[in-house]
Amino acid sequence: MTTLPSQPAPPDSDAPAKAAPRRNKWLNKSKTYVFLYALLLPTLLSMGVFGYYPKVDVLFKSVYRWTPGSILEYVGSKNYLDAFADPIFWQSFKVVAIMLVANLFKMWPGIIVAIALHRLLSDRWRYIYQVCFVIPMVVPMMVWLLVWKSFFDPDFGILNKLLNLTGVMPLLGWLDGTDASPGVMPQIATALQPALDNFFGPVFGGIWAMMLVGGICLTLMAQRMDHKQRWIGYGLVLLMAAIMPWLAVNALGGMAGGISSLVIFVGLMIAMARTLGSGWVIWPFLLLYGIWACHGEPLWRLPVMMGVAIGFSELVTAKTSRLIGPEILRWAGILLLVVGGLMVCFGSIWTEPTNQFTGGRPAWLGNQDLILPALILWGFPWVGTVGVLIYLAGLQQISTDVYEAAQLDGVGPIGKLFKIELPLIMTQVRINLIMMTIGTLTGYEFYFILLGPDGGPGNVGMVPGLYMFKSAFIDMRYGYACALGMVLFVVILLLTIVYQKYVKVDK
Amino acid sequence: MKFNMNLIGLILLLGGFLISLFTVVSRSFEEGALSQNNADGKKVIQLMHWQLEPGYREAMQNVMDAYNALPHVQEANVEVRQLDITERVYAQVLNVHAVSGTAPDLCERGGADKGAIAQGAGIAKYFDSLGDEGLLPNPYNAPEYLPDGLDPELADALSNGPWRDTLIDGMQASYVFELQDFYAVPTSFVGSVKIFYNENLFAQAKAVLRKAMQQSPQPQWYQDLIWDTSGNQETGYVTDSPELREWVLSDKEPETLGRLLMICEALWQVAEQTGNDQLVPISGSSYSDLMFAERYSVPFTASLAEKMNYDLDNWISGSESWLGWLGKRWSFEDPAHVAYFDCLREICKQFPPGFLGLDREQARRRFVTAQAGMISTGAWDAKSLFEAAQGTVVTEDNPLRPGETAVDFRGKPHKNHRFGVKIMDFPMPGPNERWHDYITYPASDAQANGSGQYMISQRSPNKEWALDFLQFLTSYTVNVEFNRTAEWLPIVIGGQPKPELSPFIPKPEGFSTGDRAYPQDGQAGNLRTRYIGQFKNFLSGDIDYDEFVRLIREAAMDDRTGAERVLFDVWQQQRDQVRSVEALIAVQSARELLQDQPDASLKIIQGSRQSAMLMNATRLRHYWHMEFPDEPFPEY
Repeated sequence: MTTLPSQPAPPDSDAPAKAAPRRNKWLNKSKTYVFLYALLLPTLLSMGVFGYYPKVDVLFKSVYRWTPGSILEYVGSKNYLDAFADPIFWQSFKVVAIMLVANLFKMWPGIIVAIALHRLLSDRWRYIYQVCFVIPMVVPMMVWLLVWKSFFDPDFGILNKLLNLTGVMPLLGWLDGTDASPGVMPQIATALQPALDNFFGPVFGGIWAMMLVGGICLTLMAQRMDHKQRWIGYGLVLLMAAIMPWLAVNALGGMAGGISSLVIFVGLMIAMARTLGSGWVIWPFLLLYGIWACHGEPLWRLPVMMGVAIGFSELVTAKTSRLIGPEILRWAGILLLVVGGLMVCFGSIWTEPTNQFTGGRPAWLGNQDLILPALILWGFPWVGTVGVLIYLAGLQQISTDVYEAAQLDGVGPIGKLFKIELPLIMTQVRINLIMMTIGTLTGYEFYFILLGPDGGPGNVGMVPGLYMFKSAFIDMRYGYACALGMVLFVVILLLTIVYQKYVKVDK
Repeated sequence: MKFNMNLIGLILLLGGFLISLFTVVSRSFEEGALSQNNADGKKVIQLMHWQLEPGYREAMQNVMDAYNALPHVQEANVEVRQLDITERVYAQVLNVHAVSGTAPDLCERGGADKGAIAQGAGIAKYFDSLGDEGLLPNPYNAPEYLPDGLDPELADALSNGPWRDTLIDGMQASYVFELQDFYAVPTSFVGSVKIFYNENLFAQAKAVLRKAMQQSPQPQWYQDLIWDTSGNQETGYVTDSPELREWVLSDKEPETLGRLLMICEALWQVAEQTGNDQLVPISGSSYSDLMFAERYSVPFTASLAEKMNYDLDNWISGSESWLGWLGKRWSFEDPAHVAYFDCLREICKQFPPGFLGLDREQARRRFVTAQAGMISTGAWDAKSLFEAAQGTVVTEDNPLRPGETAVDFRGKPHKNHRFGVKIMDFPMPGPNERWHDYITYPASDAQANGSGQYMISQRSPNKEWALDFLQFLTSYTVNVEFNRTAEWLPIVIGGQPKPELSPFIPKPEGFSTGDRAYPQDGQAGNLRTRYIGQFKNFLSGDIDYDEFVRLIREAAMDDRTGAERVLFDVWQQQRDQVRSVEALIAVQSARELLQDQPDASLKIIQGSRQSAMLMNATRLRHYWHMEFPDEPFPEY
């Protein structure tokens, strides 16, 4: 029998082993290791050849102007500089960010359905429902896409018929209106405009900057730091808040500044995580968001806003008890985020009539204002089979003791959802979150089939994955597509780090 | 020594891995995943295409069956099979399989959107050139294969002339400029796109027009069709004249754009009167919107093209368009350009709402269900449109089944008949009609090349049989029958299409198809993407022309991705071309010196000429300095 190194040797074999020469022992140990590694070799080789080599090759090719079979010319960082200066690429990130946020909400129906299934008392019925959820998996994705595309057909599609039949279409028409007679939503946006221009703009530097303050309050509430080292962290953050926008805009020009900011961003994240604990990993993201939120504002705006938020949080923490302080921060943060969210929803999105609903035949995939809503609506009611099964697997791990204890404590069905089930399936939520993020950021087939390679009218459906595909397979700029892929890889990696840190089971 | 039982597992694992590796590598290098020789020794030739139209697949299968049944083919145990791939993913399939060495023996070649890997010099790495094969006669055009009673002169040309010259376009479609050779064989001819229209709906529209014209006073919608320039904005399309009234009273199809738009308005009236809110004049879609843009670009902007034709050829490229724009040789404010966009917008108003979200299939469905008066497409859709709309002729092979009834249509009994379909060309604005003053000549079909081109994969283990099949497919008898079944146009000289396809026979009159402003050329890369995105927004009416111009100007002036970048990218491409041509000259020189190959000297001359035409990749820089003598050429 081969003895694994981590296993203790049997007591009766101890004495001869001690007597054996040290060299033989080393050789035996080495043989074991060699044998184990030999067993792993085929898998490692396969992974290396088919898994890692193409990815490393992408990194290598991203510094080349490359057309397979004809051109391979070293261009250094040019592809990256092009990517950072490419308005379509950045526009595509805006689109994918919206889809990412929408997909976060679209995860909920799956969770709710899984919990409902889990709570079914009859095993037989649970099994039947599980089978019902698995059946759609056999429908090919392409068919699914085309079926939904036909749903969106303005004249023959089910969606418009359903909206007309249920009376939702006139409601949408009432909300939207026409250029001649704007509906409720554009009117609300017009009414909010003075508040946005005269209050939120001058005071906070805009709605998005106000939401940054809310985010900082919530972060400091969650981190509850009281060690002295935090002042170093604050100092670093404020210093970077002053330097990075300046670098990006003024000092080195748009592209070089952008790259410098990215390098500083990554460096800052690593430095903070190493010196001040992994909780600081969120700060570079807040900083990045702040740069975007304060884009177009004076350079002092970002450090001042962040300084005010940090100062307010420290003041609250210093002047109140450990119980009340976090609650004040929590509610202040939530208030700012909710007000900001409402202002964005009502004051910044539906600002002009789309002129699509009053005729009763909105062109969901043919109008630039409706493409994103259509993409978000796609797949309603958003109960993904794989997601439900993963959540269900997690729910089935929860011991019945926990439920019994909750029952004794008088916890109701809603309480069980938020206090037992949701916290205990966070591992599964994280898996789905990571899969969803990667899928959203890299996916292109969906957009390609529905909107074509240019992302539809006004390129509004152009996402990074589609742009990468188009650059490679239509424009034949393979090297550039590799560079886009590397940028995408970094973004996904950073988001995954955040998920790993913040989305987990609270033991 | 005691045998370690765990070694069995390791041996099995390593063995399995090595066998898998060997299989993958051997298949990739010897056969290719899609091109295979069966274990029983059968040589299987795979032919990959994206023509999913039923007529084409059926016709191709007939040819393959006939070929597979030939005695010498059976004796060699060869079988040809077709592999049809959806058009939208064809480029990806071709690119991936070509690069990985698993491309089928025969692959269809199209434009860059159907596989950029098959364009330019790169094609030589994955596909074989025809070399001298095109100069030899096609063996399947030998007298014994030709039908009786064929014109002797034609028969002689087919039997004894070079294979290349037996095809209408002389294989020009497959000539690769950078490599001075032919890399594919065209098998069909499709001409230019046309308008298919519903005879019944047109008759109804004409009746509505007649009634409206004869009313007193005429209804407002009819009055609005009369061209009026008195207000701030032009309205209407035609001038009220005796000729117009005569046409309205006749059964003639519209010969001018103004009259076509009158029919469109009448169809809206038909929809209103019949309460059919799904009926639209033109079944437009994201597939066909650019067809109208293409067909009208030459007549409207040929006058601008003269100003930006730097290299004095018959094709205005993206770089010429943008250099001309930067040099202020033309602008988006030119009246001809404004009129062109105005015309396109008026045409797109006749499309269904949200046409940009509709695809080709949705548009076809609308037309064949008589919910649209017209549809624009090419000969490749003729068979499916004819069959779906007109039904099929009842014959012994296609008898009436229980429950089916026959309708007499054009003298023959048809089953599943819905309405008659006719084909017309894109009409130009007539005299005394709106936009007529900006029109030069329509686009000519003289440059139309063959389609359905097939390339032979370099990795094919049966290249000689692949070539043999292409010769069979392009032989006179087979090609005529193949294209008649597919309802396309034969590529072989002397081959006649079905009578209903005669409108697709090329008309050589007019200007070159390249004589137009073309900022959306594929050369323009990133800028093209933005242009197309906003162009579609304009066509759908989401933005007006001023907004379109503002957005495109903003995109074109972008430091890194704008018009100047287009010039730099094109210069790089030209430099690549020159390099490949010079490499080719070196190879041909060696062939001439060492092997005394007869064709080498000619190719050296051709190569030198091409290199000279590109002025050693300084041509574009030269044009730049013509426009901006004191400014350096853009560098990135």
